[in-house]
Amino acid sequence: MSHDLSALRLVDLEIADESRLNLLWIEGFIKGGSALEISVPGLPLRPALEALFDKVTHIPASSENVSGRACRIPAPNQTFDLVTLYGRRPSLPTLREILRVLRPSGVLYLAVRNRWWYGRVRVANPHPGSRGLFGGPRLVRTVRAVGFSVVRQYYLDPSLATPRDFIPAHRPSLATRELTLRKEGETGPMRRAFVQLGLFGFLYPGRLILARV
Amino acid sequence: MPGFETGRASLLGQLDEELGGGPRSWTDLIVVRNVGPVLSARPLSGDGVSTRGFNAILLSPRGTPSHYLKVRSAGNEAFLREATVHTALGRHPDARSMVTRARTFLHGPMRILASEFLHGDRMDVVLAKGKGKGVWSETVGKVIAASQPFWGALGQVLEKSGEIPAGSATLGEATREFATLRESGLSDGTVRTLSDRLREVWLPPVPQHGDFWPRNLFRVGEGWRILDFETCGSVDLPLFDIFHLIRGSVYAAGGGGAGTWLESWAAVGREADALRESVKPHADGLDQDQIEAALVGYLTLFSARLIRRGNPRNRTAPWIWELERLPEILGKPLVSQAVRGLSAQGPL
Repeated sequence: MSHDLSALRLVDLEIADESRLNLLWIEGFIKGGSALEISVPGLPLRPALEALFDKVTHIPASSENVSGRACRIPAPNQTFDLVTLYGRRPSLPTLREILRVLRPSGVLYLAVRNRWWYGRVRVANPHPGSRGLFGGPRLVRTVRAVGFSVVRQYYLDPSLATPRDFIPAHRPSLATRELTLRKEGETGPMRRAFVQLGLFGFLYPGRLILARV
Repeated sequence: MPGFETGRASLLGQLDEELGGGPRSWTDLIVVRNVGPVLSARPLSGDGVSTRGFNAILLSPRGTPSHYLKVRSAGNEAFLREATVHTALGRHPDARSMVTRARTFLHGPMRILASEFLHGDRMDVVLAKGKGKGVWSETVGKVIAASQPFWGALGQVLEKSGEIPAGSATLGEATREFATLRESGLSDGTVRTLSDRLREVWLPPVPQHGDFWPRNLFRVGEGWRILDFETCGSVDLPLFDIFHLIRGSVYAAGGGGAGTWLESWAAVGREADALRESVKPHADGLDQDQIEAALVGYLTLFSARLIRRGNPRNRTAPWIWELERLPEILGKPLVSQAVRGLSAQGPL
């Protein structure tokens, strides 16, 4: 009996792609309507979206339509039930466009790398456009200011690409998660120091925002 | 409850209904092991099915953890079995002190297994903290002694569910796994030697936990709890759980490189004496050949399981290495004497 391990690794990656959307299911948001993916290279959500929604539209997340000042999504007003942007920080014009194309009670699923993650200093910026990859606490305020009524923030760990943990950005939830890691012997002195000081925002590589119109 | 509900009950709403202690909000559910898609865009089979879903910690409205959840596809039959065995053991009078109470229910296309959250320390962490302080043998001995009723209860639960053990333990399955191990580098000579040890040996079938190691054992107060019943009853080789616990605990306590645990019960000293004393009741009635066959069977079956689950080479190599060394180690006089000391034949 031979064992093709390379095939298994491929399945692992595909499993990871689709598991990025498990939070939508947890929230009970399985509509079967239409979704827009503003797709970022290397972080696709397409297969999972196509399993959940009747109609899925894709546009690439170029710097003009995501970080630029003059963003235009080629769709009429109130077209989509869900818009996803996974791995790029949107500009204010882009957020307004997303709000425009979302239906009432539609949802924005937005994930960015955490600007304040302490491990960031160890990761070399991959290319000059890396400024649009990171987001901090201000992003949540911006999403609210644009007009989304319900905004929830989660931290993602260990990475945006393979989020094994979704932790609500709420002190008791973060403290419980860190206590569990400590009980499992998976925290070092530096991490425990951050937790003692309440600096949870430094611990996780990714942020996920779920926002409802 | 505010949320994104779209006319269908949210997961949190159902958890409040089933488990009580609500109302909870979105901040009370922490996903801690998101390992696969809840609804896959493509059909998955075999190990892919078993990795579809996530685990989670559920907080009470006071902000303290109340439950640990496992959420998997409703079509995952292995998970249904795990949930059934867990809930049955949690109600069994002999096992309930070691098994968390749990309940299982469906939510849309998913099955949820909710068990009480354990406020304690995992055994491997306890052992690592006690390195060098003589904690190892005392801890392992306590766990083995405390778990004795669990194995009896497991047998009763499986018998009641119709999974009656076969007339003999599955040594035949171990023999068939040599082909898998040969492809992963086990030498032909070792395969022949180990096969000889299994030939014409009969072992009584004793249902085992199947993954009884320090990461599945929690110290809560002065007692211990057992976790993860996925493989319960899939193995009925006597001493399988004991060997796995000893192997895992030696490494957790920092006890040397691959294979050192094999000689742990041949060592001289208080710790080794305590270990042999705690193992002896589980080897009751077995002779030396049977104990050695059980050891070969354990290493063979577990190595093959790791390989079939696609574990990388750096995880499976130590197991293959131990199998290669096993004939030599069992031939050492001290080890042979110690094994005989465990057996019904008694020490030389």
